[in-house]
Amino acid sequence: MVIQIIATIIILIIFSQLIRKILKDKASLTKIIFWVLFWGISLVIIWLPKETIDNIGSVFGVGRGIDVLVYLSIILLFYNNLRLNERIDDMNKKVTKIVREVAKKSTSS
Amino acid sequence: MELNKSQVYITIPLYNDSKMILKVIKSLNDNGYNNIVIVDDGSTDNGYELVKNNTNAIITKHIINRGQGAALQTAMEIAIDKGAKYIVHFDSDGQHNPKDIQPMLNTLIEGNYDIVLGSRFLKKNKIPLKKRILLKGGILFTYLFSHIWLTDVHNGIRVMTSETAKKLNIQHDRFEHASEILDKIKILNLKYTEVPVTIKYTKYSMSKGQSISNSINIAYKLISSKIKE
Repeated sequence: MVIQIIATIIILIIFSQLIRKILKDKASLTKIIFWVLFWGISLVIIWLPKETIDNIGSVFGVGRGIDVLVYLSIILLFYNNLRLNERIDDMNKKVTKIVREVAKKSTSS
Repeated sequence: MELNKSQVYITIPLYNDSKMILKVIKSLNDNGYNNIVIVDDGSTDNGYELVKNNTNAIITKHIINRGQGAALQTAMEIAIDKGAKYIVHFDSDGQHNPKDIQPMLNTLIEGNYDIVLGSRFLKKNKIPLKKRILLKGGILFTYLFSHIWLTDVHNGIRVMTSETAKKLNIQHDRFEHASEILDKIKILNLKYTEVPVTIKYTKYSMSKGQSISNSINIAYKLISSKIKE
C-alpha cells in the first residue's frame, strides 16, 4: 500500500510537470500524448488488484505483473538514453562544424 | 628522389604543447618543410601566440576544444584550400622525426599509394611495455573492427595525397579518428602501406599519450557508431 501511494505521488508530480510544459508550449503534441498515456496506464496498473496485475504478467511470461512494468521501464530508459546520445552526437558535430568554419576564416596567411 | 617540398603540407593539431611546438616547427623547417598548418585546439597555454609571433607557419585556433580528430580535419581542409598536393599528419609533442617524412613521401609517390602509414614496429624503437601491450591490443582490435592487419595503429605520422585527404573526411572529433582513418582505408579501398618510423618516447610525450581507460572509451565509441550506421 505504501509503495502504491509513493508511486502515485511521483506520477502526480510528473503529471504536474507535463501540464507546466503544455502551458508553456514547450513539448510537442506527440510527446505529450505518449507520456500522458504511459504515466496514465502506469497509474491504473498500480491500483489494479494484485491478481489482475499478476494475470497481465503471466500473459507476458513474467511471474509478477509489477515485473512487466520494471522491464518496460528499463527498455524505455535504454531507448531514451540511446536517443539522448544520438542527439548529443548530432549537436557535437554541429558545434565542431561552427568552430571549424570560424577557425578557417581566421587562419593566418 | 628529389621532391618539390612546396607541394607538401604538414598538418599539426596543437593542444597545450607550447613547450615543444617551436622545436617541432624548427625541425620541420630544417628539413625543408615550410608549409606547416597548425590548428590550436582551444589550448589554455600560449602556444598559439608563440607560433604566430615566432614562425611563418599557417596557424588558426578552435575557439573551444573539439579534439585531435577535429583539429586534424580543420588543418587538412586548410591545407587543401592552400593547394596542397601531399598532406602529412604530424604530432606536436616532438615524438615524430621529420626525417621520416621523406621516405614516406617517396614510397607514396613511387608506389602510387593513396596513403602511407608510419610503423614503429618495423624499426627498432624502445617502446615502453605498457604502450607495447596497448598497441598490440589496438592492432587486434583494428583487425576485428576494420579487417585490416597492420603492424602499428594509432601512430600519428601519416602521408597521403590531397585526394585521399578529401575522401577521408574525418568525422570522429576525438582520438577515435585514428581508428576511423584505418576503417575508411578499408571501406574506400585505398591503396596503403606501412613505412618504418622512429618514435621518441620521453616522459613528456608519454604523459600526453593514451591511457587504457581512454582506449576502452575509443573502442566503445567506434562500436556504437558502427551500430548506428
